[in-house]
Amino acid sequence: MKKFLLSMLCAATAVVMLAGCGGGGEKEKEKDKDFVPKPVDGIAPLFDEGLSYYNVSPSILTEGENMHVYYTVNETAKGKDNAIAYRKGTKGTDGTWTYTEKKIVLSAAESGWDSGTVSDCDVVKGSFALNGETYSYLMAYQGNSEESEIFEIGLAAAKSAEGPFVRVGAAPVISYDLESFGENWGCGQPSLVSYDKAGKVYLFFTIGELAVQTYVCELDCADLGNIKGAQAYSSLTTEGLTEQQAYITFNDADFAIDGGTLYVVRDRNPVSSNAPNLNAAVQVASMPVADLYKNGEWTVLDDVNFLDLEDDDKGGWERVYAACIISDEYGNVSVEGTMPGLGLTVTSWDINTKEYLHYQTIVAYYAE
Amino acid sequence: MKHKLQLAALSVGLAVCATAIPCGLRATTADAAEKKYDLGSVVTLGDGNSSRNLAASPFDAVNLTCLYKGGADTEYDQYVNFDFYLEKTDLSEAESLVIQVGNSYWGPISVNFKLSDANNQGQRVIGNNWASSDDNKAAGQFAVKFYDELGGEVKDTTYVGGGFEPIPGPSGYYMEIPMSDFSAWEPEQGNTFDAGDVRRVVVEFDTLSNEYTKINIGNMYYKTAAGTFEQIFDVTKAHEGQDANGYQKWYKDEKRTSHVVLDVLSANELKAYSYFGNTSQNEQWAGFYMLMPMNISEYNGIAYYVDNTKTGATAFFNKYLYERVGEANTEPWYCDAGFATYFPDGGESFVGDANTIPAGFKGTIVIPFTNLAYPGWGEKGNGVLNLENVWWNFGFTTDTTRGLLDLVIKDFYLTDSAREFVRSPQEATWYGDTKIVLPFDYIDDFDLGSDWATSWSDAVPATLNQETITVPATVKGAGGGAMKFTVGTKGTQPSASDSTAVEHKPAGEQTDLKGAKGITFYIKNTSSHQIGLVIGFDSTLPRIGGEGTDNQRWQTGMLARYMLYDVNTGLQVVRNSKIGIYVPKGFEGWVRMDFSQFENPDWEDRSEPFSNENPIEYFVINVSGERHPNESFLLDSIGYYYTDAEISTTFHPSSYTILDAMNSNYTHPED
Repeated sequence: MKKFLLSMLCAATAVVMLAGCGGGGEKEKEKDKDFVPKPVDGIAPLFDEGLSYYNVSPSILTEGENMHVYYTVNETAKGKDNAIAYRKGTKGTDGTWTYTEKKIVLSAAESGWDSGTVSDCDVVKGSFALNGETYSYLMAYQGNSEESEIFEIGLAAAKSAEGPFVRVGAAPVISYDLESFGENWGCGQPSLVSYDKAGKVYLFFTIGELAVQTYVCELDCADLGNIKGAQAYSSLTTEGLTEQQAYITFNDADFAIDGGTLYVVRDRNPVSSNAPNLNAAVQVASMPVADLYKNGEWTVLDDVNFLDLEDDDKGGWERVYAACIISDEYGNVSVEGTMPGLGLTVTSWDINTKEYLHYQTIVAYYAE
Repeated sequence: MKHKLQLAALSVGLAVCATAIPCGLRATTADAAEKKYDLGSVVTLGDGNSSRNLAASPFDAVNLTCLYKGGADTEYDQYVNFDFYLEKTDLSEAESLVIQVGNSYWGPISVNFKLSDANNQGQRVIGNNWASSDDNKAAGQFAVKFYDELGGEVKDTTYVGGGFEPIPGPSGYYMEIPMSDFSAWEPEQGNTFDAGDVRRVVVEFDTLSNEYTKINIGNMYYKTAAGTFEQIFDVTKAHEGQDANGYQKWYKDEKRTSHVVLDVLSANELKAYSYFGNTSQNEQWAGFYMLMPMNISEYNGIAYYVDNTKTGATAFFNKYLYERVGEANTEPWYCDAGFATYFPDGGESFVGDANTIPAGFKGTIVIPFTNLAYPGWGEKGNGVLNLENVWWNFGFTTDTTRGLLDLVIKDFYLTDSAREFVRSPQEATWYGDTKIVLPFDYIDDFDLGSDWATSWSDAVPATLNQETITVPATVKGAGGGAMKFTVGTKGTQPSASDSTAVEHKPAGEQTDLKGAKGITFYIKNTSSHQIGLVIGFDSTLPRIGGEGTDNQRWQTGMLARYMLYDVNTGLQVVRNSKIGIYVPKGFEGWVRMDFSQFENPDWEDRSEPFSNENPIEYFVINVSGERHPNESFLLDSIGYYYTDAEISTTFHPSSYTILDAMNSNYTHPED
């Protein structure tokens, strides 16, 4: 079993929450009369919103002493109405992190292409102009309309990390060509990495059609009213990646850059054949950035599964997926060990409720 | 065995006769090739799969072809009767009835012969005797004799059994039935049969036991006591009707289904009649073959006459022969993608697809032997057809899934004056680091189709058309002639494949990959969707443990990487293949794929690593008819590239894109 550092967020988080100090604990309990803490099957989550809310698909940025955590949550208790939430983590003098209350920073729109749900976001810092205003944070997210289950990707901008986020335009930045691709899942799972710490960003995303693949395009978002580069997207190579099935499905990936090295964390497929039918591991790999458009090859650094997330006698989380790389505000990392830190969505099967949906939670993982 | 889509493409043969038909010309004034060796006298059955193309009659005849078994458990009548009408005929003094009869089946078939008088009463059936033929033979009664010639020596004798007369097969005889063997038919016993006024000879056919058979009825006579023969039915005057020399067909039951076909044909005319349904008894392939010498080196082609005025559509017939290899082996040579010269009766000759006979065509077709090629399966010899040592049959085979045929074919012969067609040469040209070897500079659809074969045999049909493509002025190496590829729709037969393929046999510089890094082509996606192409080619390798060569298939698989450069929008991207190289909707420009991205399909036995030192001998483009029905694209300028170009993006600019590479001063080391 690989050694790992216990997340410093572990027990301290629970204490802070209970103490109602900066965390969401008591106040959230007051709001949610039905608050039932989530069972912890492995390393402790960043925060506990109880069994009425799922917390999935994190995007975690560290900026100075702060940690910005974006994630997908259901807006209504025990519901399935996806929205994007934010918590700010602050590192205490003892090295533990405390988190602010949950704040919904993006909900489904009143109408339009993302009037159904919004989810799976990633945020990056830079300089982006929209309607005469300058924004410092750019969010890419996936959404769908009330009428369609096909996902597309949109952008939103904010002046501060905690929002509010303003939608960029009334149309997705990456749309799904139904006529060309046919009925399918659509496009989503975006990941942003700043190119110049200003307005240029890499946008990575997945298209689920004939063959699920991850793509990259180079956006110039300096003027969000005139975004360039959205149509010129290239496939990422799958060479070097490994699966537990015959073919590679490259999806649900997050990226970060360390100098000339590109890191990725992706779901390792296939999903489990047992309930819950989710992935049981994520894979971390790296490749030279210069090979992005060549016939290059990834180097797999590790697969992270429940064995890595055991906590004494708690066993490990049964499912590990929808991960992110814990990067700085520009999507950069400085990897000193084997690989960067990860934010993971984890869950187990709730034998009482016979479901997993609101069991899902977020943990941080740092390999030695 | 290789994938069935790998069919032989054309041999680029030079003319072996004095003159060649200029490329692209559809009509000539050339005469039909001279007959040098008449094959018309013998036509025999095919390889056992043939169910409906049965041997031609050696004499003018009314042919009765039984397609299916009839009976209580079927949708067809069991008994079918054929009436042959006579002038008023006095048989009261006749010694025997003589009928010119042939059996095109390999074994005996049984029919019942009756006579009917003017009152249509008292039909007499041969041998109102239900004893077996063995019993009759033992008793020395109800014998029927067979002669090669009227009044000639007896060649065979059979005995009536169970009321039916077995006619030996395969055969063509005069059959003699003693008048004394005729007796009253049970239900009509007591009626008076007027032998002095016989008006019909009736042939009763039991389809229950005669499925897939054909008998031929020619002239009819009676033999006098003096030994002379008086003709009572003249088959050369046979017509549908109830007057003298007339004939008609009728069914005893009332189902009245057309499972027995009646034709009137001259001697050696073959009726190619095919029917394909979805029953398990129906064979897909129906064929026949002509006997010929084993040394046909004096000849350069085969010719035959065909009447396709009744099919109502084109008629597909492939041709083949087998070369003897060693003592026991044979190497197939098929005319999968060949061409022929058509000489229509009273019309101007033209060059066309050797296997697809135009609807309504009636005339002579001449096929040069240079159009035969190894089909990619079966024993492969040295790749050169040795006409001095071929098997003794030249085969014709049709695919009944392509529809009903109703052809008359005759006058088969070998010729030494078959004319060769020369297609437009495809010249290789360098553009920077790229050698375009297939510029698609064809004159018309036929010229294109003579170099690119569309796959057959259960596949989705494709239509190829020669078109002109106009490219931006900055584009080198493309423009002008292009191939428009239109995908058909998948067939409904159970064995239908969902793949469409077009195939080409590379020649000359097209086969040479030395130093090349990958394949490139120019494409314009004119469909409303992204479209996927699986590109494949065969490397030629030395055969393991034997002489000659073998081939190894390479093709685009999943997640192979390729570059796209749109010459109109400037879009430059790298993509991973899905089920094929996918070209976006509206894309026009260059595609490049490195040889390192090709893989062997699962069925490929050879596993050697790819080497550009090996020449290629086959090229195929496969499109899914299920995913892209009726979609089309324009394809131009297939070639090989010799340096590593890159895409150029905002964040990763490059000064060596595909267009840069094609405008470079690259010089191939061997030039």
